[in-house]
Amino acid sequence: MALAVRTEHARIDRRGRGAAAVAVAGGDRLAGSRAGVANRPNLTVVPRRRAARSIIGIWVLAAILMAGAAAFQTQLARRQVTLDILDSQIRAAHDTYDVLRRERAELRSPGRLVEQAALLGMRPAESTEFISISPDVIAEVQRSGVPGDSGPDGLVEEFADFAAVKSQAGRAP
Amino acid sequence: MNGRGHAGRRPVQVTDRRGSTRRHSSSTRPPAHPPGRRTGHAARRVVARRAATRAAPPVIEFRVGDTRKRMRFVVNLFAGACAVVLAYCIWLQTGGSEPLLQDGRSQRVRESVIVAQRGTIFARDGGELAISVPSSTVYADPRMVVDGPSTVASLTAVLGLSTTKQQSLLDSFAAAEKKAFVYVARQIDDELAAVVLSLDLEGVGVIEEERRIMPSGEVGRSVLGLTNVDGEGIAGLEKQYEEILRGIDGARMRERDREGRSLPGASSTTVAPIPGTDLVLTIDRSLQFQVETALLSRVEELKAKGGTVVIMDTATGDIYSMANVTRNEFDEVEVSSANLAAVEAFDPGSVAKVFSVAAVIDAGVATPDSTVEVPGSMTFNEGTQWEQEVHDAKPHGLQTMSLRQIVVDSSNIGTLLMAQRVGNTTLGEYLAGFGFGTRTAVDFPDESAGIIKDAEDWQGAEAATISYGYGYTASSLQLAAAVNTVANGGVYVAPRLLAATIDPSGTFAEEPASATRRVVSPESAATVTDMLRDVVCSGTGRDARIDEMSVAGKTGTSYKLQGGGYGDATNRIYRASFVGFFPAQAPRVTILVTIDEPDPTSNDRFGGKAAAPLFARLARAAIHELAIMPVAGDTGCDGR
Repeated sequence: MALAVRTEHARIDRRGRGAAAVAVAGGDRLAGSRAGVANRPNLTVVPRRRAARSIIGIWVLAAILMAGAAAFQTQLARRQVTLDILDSQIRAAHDTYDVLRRERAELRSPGRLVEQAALLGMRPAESTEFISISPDVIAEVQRSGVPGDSGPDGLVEEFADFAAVKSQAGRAP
Repeated sequence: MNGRGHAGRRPVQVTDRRGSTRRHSSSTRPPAHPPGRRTGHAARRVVARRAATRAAPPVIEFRVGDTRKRMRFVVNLFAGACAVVLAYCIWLQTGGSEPLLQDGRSQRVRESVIVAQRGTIFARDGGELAISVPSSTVYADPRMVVDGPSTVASLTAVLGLSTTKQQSLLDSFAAAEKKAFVYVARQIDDELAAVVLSLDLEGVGVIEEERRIMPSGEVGRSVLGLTNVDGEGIAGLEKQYEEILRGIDGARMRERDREGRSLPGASSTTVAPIPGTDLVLTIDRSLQFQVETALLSRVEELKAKGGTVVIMDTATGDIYSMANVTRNEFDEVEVSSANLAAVEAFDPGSVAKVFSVAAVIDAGVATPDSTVEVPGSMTFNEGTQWEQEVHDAKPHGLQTMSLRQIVVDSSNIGTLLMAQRVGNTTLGEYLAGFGFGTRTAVDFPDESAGIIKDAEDWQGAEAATISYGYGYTASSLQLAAAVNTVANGGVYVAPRLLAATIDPSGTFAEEPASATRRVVSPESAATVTDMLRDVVCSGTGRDARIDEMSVAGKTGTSYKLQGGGYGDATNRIYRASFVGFFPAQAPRVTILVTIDEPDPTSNDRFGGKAAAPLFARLARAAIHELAIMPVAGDTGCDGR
């Protein structure tokens, strides 16, 4: 609507300037000239600046979107690489855990202990001698909180750490 | 539309030999001359015309067709082709997409199995008896191998491949239709695998596999059993608990690039494996080691074929140790891979007198002081083909013996005479109550139930010999559990090997306590125990004594079956045994020792000499390991 109004104003303006020309020149020649002016096509003003702005805006937006997509893909790739590294680290940690368990078990194996004890000059006892302990000493030991023989509770306690590790780690991929 | 037919109807322009041009349709050509004789001139003219026609064929000029029709035809053709392509595209995007998707996936998706970690087998003290650890396996892709002989030579230099393996690999590399995967060496050390990789051989790679190892050496080997190279249990506890030990394998599917890296944003599916359940055995690792070491030594000393030991907790039935030793084909004594204590049944011999005497006491037909006239020998089924003479190990004439003396001296005839007072049926019921003829609750793979007939089927001398341990068979495990019944106040407690499990979520679950049943009264058990103390203090089991602690036990020396009989004095083969428990007043542990085929020429071939000393040695070890204290006032054999 605004564009139409401006066109009408331009037309009136051109008509006004045509009348002035007639006043200056006068005669038939001027009349012919007036007819020529009247036959000219009505030109309209196109808001070029706004169109250019829109096109530029679209291009900028597209560029931003493309750059964003590229950045997103890059970030995705980086995180995937990080995940791969973490994955391999977890597997390596599991392997290390298993190897350490094996080494610990080997170090605690009775055969090795006997071997090491023999190197230190120790040998198995050949006889047993029981000594009597006074009730006072027994009571004192009990008061000190020293744990007794491994009963069922002791069995649970022995494996508590292992069970805790297993519940957390299991065998992650 | 047929072009040829269309052309035939199309007007053609023909120029004759006179140069005139006329138009006619091929279908409306002028009729031929009517048949008839021609004049000479005319005939010549026709001939000439024909010759001219043959010499210069008419020029055919094609007219320009209907362009619009042609355009329409081409457009229609093109549209049809497009429609076909479009339909094919639609089909590919819908119903026909799956094969292509699979092909595409197979090019970039790597699917791998994540092997579940096999459960660990622990001893009761927390020591690992069997664990699975990562190891490396070298493989080859024969399609990628460039130089087979050179590759095999390089691998052999590092891995020490056998000749058979080398030839197998060469055959694989040279085969017309090559496989995509062959094993070169499985479950080797990572360091060795690294050396193989450093050779950079075409078509040779390394993958990770788990390997089952026993970090404590051969401790408990016969009980634990074996796994095959694929990690499946094939013997022993590994086989018995295969279902829970193996876990559930997982899988990983990832889209990867050529370098093996995951494609960003691509789909990735991982099904986590569920690790196997861990087993906690009742076995004491340290005690098991000492038992095996002592048994190996004893079997070697006695030049025996083998031996077994079972140590169990009197009250709970927990088996602290179950050891098996055998002499191999190279005449070397080693820890057996078979759990002979559970799978091998034999005539129990004099050890079985414990059960007959317990039945006699519990049935109330005799007391320790009841006496009987015992001859030096007895003959059964006299005059028949089943005639059998029974005599005591220690020759004697007719002798009045008390039940206590019968037990202490291990008199066969005295025992059978006392057992006759009970009767076959009652004795059979007692033996069944002690667990003979039935597999134990351990339910070990291939465990023997032993053989014992129903009492009504006992015939001839069988009814007599069963009372002192011949005529039926039992495993070491059954014997130990049966004697443990007396130690446990007359209550049979089922032996057990599994104390607890640790499931994949880390939950520690103790196994239910062993089933029990009363077999004899507490008083009867105490009476039998008292007599068994005398066996150790003043009878055949004196070598089983230990300082400052009372021991109750019974010796046994049985002849082994050979060729349908037990042989004679010149060729008998023996099984020596001793079973006992301590402290006798309040038993904590029951130990059974059997020595299989000790040197028959040695005086140490009897239970009291071959097995009882080993019992004493193992009892001392058990006292240390299990912290067993003597009962107040216990002076061992002092005063008996």
